[in-house]
Amino acid sequence: MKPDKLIDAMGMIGEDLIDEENLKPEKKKYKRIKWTVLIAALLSVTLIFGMVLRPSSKPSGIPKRPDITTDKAVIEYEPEDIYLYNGCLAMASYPESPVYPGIDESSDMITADSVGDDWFLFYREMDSEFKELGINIDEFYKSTCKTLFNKNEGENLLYSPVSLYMALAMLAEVTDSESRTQLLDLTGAESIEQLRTNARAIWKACYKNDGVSSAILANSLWLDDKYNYNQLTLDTLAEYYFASSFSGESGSQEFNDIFRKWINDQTNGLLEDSAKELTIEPRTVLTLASTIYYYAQWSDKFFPELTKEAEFNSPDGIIKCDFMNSSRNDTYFRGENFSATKKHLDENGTMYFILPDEGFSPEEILKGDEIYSFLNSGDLWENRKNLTVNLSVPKFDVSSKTDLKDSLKELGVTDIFEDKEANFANLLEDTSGFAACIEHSVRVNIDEEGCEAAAYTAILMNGSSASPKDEIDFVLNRPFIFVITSDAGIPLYTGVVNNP
Amino acid sequence: MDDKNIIKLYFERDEKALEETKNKYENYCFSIAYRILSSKEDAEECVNDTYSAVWNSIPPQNPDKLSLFLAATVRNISIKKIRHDRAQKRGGGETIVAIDELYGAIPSKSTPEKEIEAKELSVILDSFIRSLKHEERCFFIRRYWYMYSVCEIAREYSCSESKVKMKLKRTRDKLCELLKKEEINV
Repeated sequence: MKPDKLIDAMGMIGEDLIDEENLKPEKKKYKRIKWTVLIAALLSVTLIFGMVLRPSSKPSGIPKRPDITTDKAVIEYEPEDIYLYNGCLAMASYPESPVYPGIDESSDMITADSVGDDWFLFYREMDSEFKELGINIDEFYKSTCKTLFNKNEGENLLYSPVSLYMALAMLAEVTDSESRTQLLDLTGAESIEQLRTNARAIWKACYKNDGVSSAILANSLWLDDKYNYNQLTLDTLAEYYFASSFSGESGSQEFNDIFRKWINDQTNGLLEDSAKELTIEPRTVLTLASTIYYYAQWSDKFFPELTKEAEFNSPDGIIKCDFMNSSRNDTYFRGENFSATKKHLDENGTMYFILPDEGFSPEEILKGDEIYSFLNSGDLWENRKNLTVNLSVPKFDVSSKTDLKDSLKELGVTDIFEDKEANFANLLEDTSGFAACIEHSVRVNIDEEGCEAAAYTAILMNGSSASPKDEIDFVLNRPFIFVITSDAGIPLYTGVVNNP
Repeated sequence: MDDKNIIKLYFERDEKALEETKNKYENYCFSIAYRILSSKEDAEECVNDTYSAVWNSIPPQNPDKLSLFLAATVRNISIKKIRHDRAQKRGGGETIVAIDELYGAIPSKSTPEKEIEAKELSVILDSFIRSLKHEERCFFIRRYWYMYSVCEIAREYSCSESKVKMKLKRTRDKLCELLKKEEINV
């Protein structure tokens, strides 16, 4: 049997199908990322900007540049330009992921799914530590969300719990005494040893980089080369936090350029505009950066043909936006003053959509406890029902930038911000400083492409605690909350969308 | 000159039709042939054969879009050429890889099957391709009609080669399922 007939038949298909006009790539919002079906692109950056020097503690004598030729914690890394930079003091080594089953990078043909076992075993191993250790960051998630979202009024606000957790854990690693204790308390760790073990397990459990979906927590430290640093601490950060460390002249063009390049590389260029504004000032001794870049496709796609313009009731008034629609058998959850449903992302977690009842704001829901109990229930929430969910979600591309300093102070992390109290002795050998700010930038967009049209009418639950019989129209046409969790249930992103 | 007037020249049997076609579509035809044949000389030969074939086809045919009519003609001629070369065990490159991939979409013979002609099969294929989502459709046509390499497709649609391969694989699997369901013997 030969495929010649098939090739001949291909030559006889309708002319319109081969028309170049009909083969143009569909327009996307971003140049660097073209999504297949649905797409969720999310990223966040947490920057702990600068331990600014105390005026009284300037080092005397000639400052030394750290010795980067001895005991350099070179573990291995992709040979990218940035890691050839002279000031690279320690390099993180990422695990090498097998490609998603069905893809063979070395061949032009996809021949077999034999790589499936490797892929499965690799990712099972990656989240095994997290599961075996029974790590729980629920309290951290709850307390930080309550504090952060409490300050929000009618704006879009996005938060990446896992990114902040990693940034604070690294901060704990470089601090000592009460500064460290406060960070251990907030992250719920008994000791620095436990925190670093947890951080490593969380990093691994979140990691996904298989050619189809991606979730990469990238961490780094940027150090002023006028001072001495504890190389052992940098090595620990590379080993447990997958953090690379770089030194250079704070405030110099070169150092800022390489810093921005790192941010752009790790976030696939999606935060390029924000990154332009990032500067390591001359007085900055240390900058900590933690980013998470994430994308995945919906397991069950939205069809673009079903996308329809409709009204969204934002706090500023009614706005028009495109709503993606789907109808499928799924779980509908009911909580106190909110209802929720979820949508799986292909081999890379789940997105929950949480709609406050009429008369309640997302911020009010996030102040309560029930939403956290619901999210921690692992879909075993008592008040749930499987039915046909007619989901209608506005496409959105939202971002927010927040200084978390005040929120962290409220959460008991105070010393690192105080000139006289901050203790960074575990990293800085002959100087000291304090944290100037903790900047948290997040951008999330979801999108789709697809076929056919349907209109849904908003039927709202209006606070009723009764579950519907067989079918529910779940229309996110007013401010709502979304939460994205990893496969292991780690909260990667939480956001309030007031204005899609 | 616009296509309508060029076609008019063909109907009037005015040889200026060929000159206008060459002026307007020579590069276009060459790129299609060259992608399939990977040989400048062979591609030029096929393009010249295409002009003769089009001269003999119009009239009676009266294409809506001359460019697409030329594309289909030059493709068919180039495929015939590569098939001949394959029989002689020479050349082929990317096109043979693409053809072999498509071979995988043919169901193995486990059930009684209907023998059908290419024309009939093209109707099924046409409808199958129309049922695909935009991107899948583009990838499939670029690969198995225009014989683009996976790398070229990835570049055109700004995505990874892995994604292109995965999409093509899934589409071929779908096609295989359809042919199985229809109990078609290719």
